[in-house]
Amino acid sequence: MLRILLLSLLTVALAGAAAAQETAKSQSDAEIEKEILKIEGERDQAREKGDNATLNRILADDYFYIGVRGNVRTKANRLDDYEAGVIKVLSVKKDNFMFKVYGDTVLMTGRETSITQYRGKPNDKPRQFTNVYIKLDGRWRLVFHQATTIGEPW
Amino acid sequence: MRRILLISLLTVALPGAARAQGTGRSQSDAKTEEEVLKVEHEKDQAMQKGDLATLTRVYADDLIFVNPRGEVLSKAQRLADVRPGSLDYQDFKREDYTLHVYGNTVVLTGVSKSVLHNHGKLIRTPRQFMQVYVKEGGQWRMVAHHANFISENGLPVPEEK
Repeated sequence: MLRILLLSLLTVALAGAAAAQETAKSQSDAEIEKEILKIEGERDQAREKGDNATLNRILADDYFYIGVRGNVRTKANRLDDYEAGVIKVLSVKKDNFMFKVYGDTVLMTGRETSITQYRGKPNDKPRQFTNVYIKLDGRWRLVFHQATTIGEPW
Repeated sequence: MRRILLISLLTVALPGAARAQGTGRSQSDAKTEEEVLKVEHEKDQAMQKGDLATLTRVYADDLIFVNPRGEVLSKAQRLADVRPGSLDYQDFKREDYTLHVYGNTVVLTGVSKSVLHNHGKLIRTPRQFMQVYVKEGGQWRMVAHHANFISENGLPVPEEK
């Protein structure tokens, strides 16, 4: 009887420890998500202002960008486009965020309805985007971005 | 820790050839690239055959799949899409692979020129895609996929974002 009682107590204790660990993990992921959202906010402000210094800090050196028409751009390409005023971000609006945290990797998806201009041509179509953030040398950096116009015909 | 490797379709069939192109890469990253390309190849084979068992193994349970229409699919929705009769490949062709290795995460990009029927609709427009693989429990699993149609005119593509 005593053995059963001890086993029961042990089971409860272990379950409690597992729950505590799970909670700690969730809190940790929540903190990471908050950190990524902060950086994403800084990036959006930088896009609006054409602030290449901030973009240079956030984008990883091997940043890879796939635009809505399947165009591939590097970090240097993107910074040049902002520098030359080829791309302008008139207003930023994003929602429907989803995060997946895998250690030092964060997948972030969402919907963007920001108003942008490319060579004077405005775009306000809703886009679905995927961002990949990786912690490099202790800092979260954006290594990849892809956006797709929602509702494109097959 | 950036590792990039441009790989042809031939390399997928012959993973050993990746070593020859990988000058400057660490052995560890080269091994990772080979492992991920092998899984990618298995996945591609499974997609052509409608082999749901293999896809279930390769796709992570929390897969985020964004198709060229901007629709976000879960693993279950994607598996339902791949079932024989829904997706029918007439020609399977993928190329221009690029791999970026970050420890237990690999970002793989490439171009798909496959011709297929998707729910009866013929699709032949090339797609630029990205996939994220994460090593979980000793296995590489695909946690994200995102694809866009590529503009057909071949000119520098206007960026709208």
